[in-house]
Amino acid sequence: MPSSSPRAANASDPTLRVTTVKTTPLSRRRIWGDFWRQGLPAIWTSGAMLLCIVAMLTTILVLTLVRGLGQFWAKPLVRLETTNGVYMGTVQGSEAAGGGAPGERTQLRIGNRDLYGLDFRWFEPSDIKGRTTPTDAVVVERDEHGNFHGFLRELHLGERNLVGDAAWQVFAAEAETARRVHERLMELDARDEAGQDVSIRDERQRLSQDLQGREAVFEDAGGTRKNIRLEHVVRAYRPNDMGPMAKSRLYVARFWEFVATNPRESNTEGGIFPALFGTVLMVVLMTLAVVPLGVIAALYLHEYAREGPLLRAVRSAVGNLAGVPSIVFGMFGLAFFVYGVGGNIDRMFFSEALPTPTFGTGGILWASMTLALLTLPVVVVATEEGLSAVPRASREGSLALGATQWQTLRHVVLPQAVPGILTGVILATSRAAGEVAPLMLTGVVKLAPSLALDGSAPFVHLERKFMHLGFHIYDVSMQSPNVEAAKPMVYSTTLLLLILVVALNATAITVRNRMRRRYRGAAL
Amino acid sequence: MSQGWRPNPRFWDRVARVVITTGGITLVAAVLAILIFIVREAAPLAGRAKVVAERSLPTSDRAILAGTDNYREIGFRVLATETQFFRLQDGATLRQVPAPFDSTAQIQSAAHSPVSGLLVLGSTDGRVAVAKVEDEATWEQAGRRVDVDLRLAGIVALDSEKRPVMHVVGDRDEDGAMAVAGILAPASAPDAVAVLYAFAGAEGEHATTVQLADGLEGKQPTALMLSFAAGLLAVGTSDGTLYFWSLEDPENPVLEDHVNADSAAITALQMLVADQSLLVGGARGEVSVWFRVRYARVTNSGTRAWAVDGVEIGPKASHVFLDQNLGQRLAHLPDLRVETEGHPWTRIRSFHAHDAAVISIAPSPRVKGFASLDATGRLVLQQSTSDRTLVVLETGLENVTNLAFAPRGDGLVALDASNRLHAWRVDNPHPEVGLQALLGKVWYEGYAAPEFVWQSTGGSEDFEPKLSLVPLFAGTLKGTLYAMLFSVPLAILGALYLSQLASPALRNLVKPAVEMMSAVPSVVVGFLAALWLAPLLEANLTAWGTVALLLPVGLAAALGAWLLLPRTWRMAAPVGTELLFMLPFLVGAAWLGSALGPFVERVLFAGDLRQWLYGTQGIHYDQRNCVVVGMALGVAVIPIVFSICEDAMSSVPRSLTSAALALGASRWQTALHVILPAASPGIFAAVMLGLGRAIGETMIVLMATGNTPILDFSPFNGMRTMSAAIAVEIPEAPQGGTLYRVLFLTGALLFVFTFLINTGADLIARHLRKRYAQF
Repeated sequence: MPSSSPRAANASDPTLRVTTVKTTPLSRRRIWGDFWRQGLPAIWTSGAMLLCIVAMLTTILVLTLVRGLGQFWAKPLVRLETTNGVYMGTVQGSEAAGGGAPGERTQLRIGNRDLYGLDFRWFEPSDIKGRTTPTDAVVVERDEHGNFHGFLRELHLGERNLVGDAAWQVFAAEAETARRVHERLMELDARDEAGQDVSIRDERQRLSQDLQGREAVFEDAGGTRKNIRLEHVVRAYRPNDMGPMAKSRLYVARFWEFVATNPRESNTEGGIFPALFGTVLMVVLMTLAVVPLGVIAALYLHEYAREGPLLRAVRSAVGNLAGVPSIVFGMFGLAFFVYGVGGNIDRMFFSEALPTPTFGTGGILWASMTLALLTLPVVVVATEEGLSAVPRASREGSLALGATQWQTLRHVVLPQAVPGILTGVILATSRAAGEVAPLMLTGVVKLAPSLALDGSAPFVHLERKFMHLGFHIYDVSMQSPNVEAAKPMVYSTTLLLLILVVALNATAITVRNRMRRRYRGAAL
Repeated sequence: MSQGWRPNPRFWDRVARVVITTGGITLVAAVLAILIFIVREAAPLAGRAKVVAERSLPTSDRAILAGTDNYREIGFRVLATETQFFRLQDGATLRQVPAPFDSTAQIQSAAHSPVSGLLVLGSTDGRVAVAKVEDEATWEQAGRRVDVDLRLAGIVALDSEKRPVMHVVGDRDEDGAMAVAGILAPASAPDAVAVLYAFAGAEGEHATTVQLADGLEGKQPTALMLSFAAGLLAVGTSDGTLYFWSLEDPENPVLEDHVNADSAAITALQMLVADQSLLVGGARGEVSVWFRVRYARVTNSGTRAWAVDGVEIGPKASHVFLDQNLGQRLAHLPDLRVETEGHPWTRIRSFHAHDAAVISIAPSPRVKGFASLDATGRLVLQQSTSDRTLVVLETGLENVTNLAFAPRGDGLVALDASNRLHAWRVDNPHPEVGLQALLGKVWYEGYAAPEFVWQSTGGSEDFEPKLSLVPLFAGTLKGTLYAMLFSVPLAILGALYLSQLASPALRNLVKPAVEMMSAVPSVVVGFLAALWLAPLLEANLTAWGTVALLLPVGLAAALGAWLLLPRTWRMAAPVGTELLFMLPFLVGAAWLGSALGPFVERVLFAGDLRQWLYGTQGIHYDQRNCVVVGMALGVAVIPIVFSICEDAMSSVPRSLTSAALALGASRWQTALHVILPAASPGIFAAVMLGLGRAIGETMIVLMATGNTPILDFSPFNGMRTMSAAIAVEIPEAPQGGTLYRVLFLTGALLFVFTFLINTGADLIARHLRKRYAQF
């Protein structure tokens, strides 16, 4: 206690005070007295701690923003001539050269996984002989094997053969056509898997023959030729030949692809639409379950139950459930909903399908129910808070006019408690949207073959497994075979999830603050 | 009627009351029943195993051995002249297989393994037949139909003198090579016994017969055990000595070792399933478990003394240890040489549930347990690794000759001397689990010493789950500890600054921002920790260290510079200026630290800190370690602690702070002596809530640790926490299995811990509210 000890000593020992005054010049004494009395080191340390917290928060936000948004911007293709071959790719990073050599070594994302087998490669400065950014270098985003970096040499379109720039002129349009034909063909295939339907056989044959001839011949930086079927081309562009406008257009297109399409290449490329859809649908189902239950429980606890030690204990227990780890709720969901309720439904209604489970395995319904349980305390507590914020005068006024308790609740109390309920619901959805651990036990999968909501009867398939943004992050970053290549995707998914959750939370906080302000006024 | 029926509002009031009350009570009860449900899933772990007598059948003739098929529908018994298969339900004979020996010779002795189905028959004229009991179930309209048969694999002539084989054992490998051994005694002189071993190659050619009696030093052999998988032929004698022959080369058995295993005669020898542990039953009722254990000699060739596992080894001295991975652990110390000292059969544990001679031991075909029967008819079911006696049953049977498990481990059969066959049902769902196995050190097969091990699944068929909760507790504790160390000072001091010393504008900005931080999903934090922070930390470990050291220096420099400013300037500066003032100093210190990192690493740590840590300190650096987890969990914990602390500190009544300030206390004195004590219950509650969050957090630890269940408190190792174990393993655990229930037990513990912690925090917060309500 540096601040108090000198003063205490002075008070108890008068001689010390005399000597202190005599030996210390006034100005110095004041500085040091200030120093300890004001606790400057402690204040500054706690200030620094606050800065640390702010720095952590900023790091998380900036990191996800920059990496999550940056990946859609087309980076220039760099062509490196090295002693062990010519490579072309986007610069991924650099660090001090190995073995203490001068200069920096460069990491390229070289693409062409089908040719080289790896996505990234380091180049020592001593190995690099030349570095160019050719304007006609093409990035081809493909269905499989990741991106291709190279040069377009020829384009075969059935009978026609195009070479050089002429080929590039029509490339995008032709690829688009080929993709559409391919999609049509897939649709026909899906309709008639066995190949029995005579009516569409001709069309199928014609389409697949049409696709056969559509091919582009590319050459990689080293001159190796590679034929790419046009229907496998998702998109192709020349990043070194694009202005900011073209890049912006590409940015929007790629961002849209990310949000609105299906994943490719075991979730490491393409979009995350199913995960986004699964998250939203799961949260909606959860909300449908948790709102009535939470409101009824809160109404009971706050309006009907008799106050007493038991009620206080129950109320605190319900509140404290919010702090129980989500994984425990997941276990409960697995044992109770999946194995218990689901198993019984299977035995009663789907016994012909057994031992293959229908509801007796994880699914979107059970995941939502589990999360509804998990978030129930949040809704109950917030609703109760909303109910207690309703001024006593309103209630008593209503009762004095002869209304029954239910009428008072229905027409006076509940309308005023809506903001409280809303806060609870939004907080619950935000928590549910970000929660992953319980889902892992109750029905989330890395790749769901079909959405839980689709055009085939009965349109809502609650027993289906689903994808989820949070689990997508976990799965791709932890269990994908090529984590490094998938990282940009994960950053974007992270950003999306973060935006979703933070937006929900910000809404909840705003609603709560507005509510508080309103009732503060009412109380006056 | 034309107005329609309008119910009385009182009616609706009553309806609403009933609906809401029942609904509310049901809901609250259902929510609170979660714990009960989870405990109920774990409860069968505590259930006792049961052995229930099912039936007792007379047999026509003196039976030598009995057993059952997979489904406990059909039994078989070996008689002197034939092997009979019969329906267990009523004893009706289904099939008779005559003795494989020619007409004059009869069956004298037999041995059967329910795991391999191998039936070994010793004849009255010194020969041994090896056969296999085969059962095949076919599923038909009417139900299951089981066909049984006995297929002869070969006959080995063991004794050229054609003495009867009194005890027989044998084994057969996948290629068809057979090894048999027997104790032989001429009918005329039963004391003049011989022990013979024979090996026959895969093509049936007779390879070797070996006289083993020479090795026994004239002692009387009483029990035999032979196993190809263990490479062992064991012989027990009447004075309790156990002889081990190595069958590494089955054509030439080598006497390897002998030990005094029992104070009385050895009466029964068996191998536990997977052929790694030897069970030795004695005439005084003791059953002991043996397996091979590696020893290592550590020799100190240096000039200073080293301590290894608490044993001091002086210069030029050496010491023999149980080899707990010593070679690798001591690899970084060039002074110490580690040599293997062999791996002898070693007594691991013993059971004393019998008071009389053990007559027969039946190892369970499924788990590392066994049943044993003694001369007074006491039947005991025991589990070797968890060191538990599961069932003690006084059957009242005397003179039992043979006890055997059903192939699925769900039944037992025994033969007694009055020619009756007895069958029991065995209900033993979770033998591996007990207090000792969950919380104590257990000596598992293949391990050098008793250890706390969590290893729930393994690659091979006969893998034994190792379910010690201690590594999971330790992992949880470790992660929580590092998280709290990191986050609590930051959060409390930060909250103190924000609530008491910062400007209101900053407060309105930072408070909601930090609250928003608590909404960041843990999977996001886990991802950033695992794929951004962990590689960054690994690549620049020294730089992080120097930055951490230089930041306080930077702070001190900032403070010094501040004090050098004219006093009037300082007095005039608005509240919170110090934050802006110190910022460039801190950034500068961080920059300087990261720039100095590589230099420091070159000078102090020979250019590679991780190599240096391992080489000189023996510390292994994992990329995903406690430092990473501590920081990542900190991000999850800080908002909780910070926000609640801040609330507690801001809600200290203004009258108290005003009084302190009016008495001449400085801002800091007020904060330290008035705010902190007044808010201390709130701060305590905040820390408790943070603790609860850290204990239960799943995704962060799942992603940011290596998930290795190890017992090690080094900051550079990973860990596996209780929650991560649940998340990783429960999707794979079969419903109702031992692992499933143990994980539910873990979940129940997590529930109870966090619930208690939260309730404690809640009570404290209430108390606080009451205390300051008076101001």
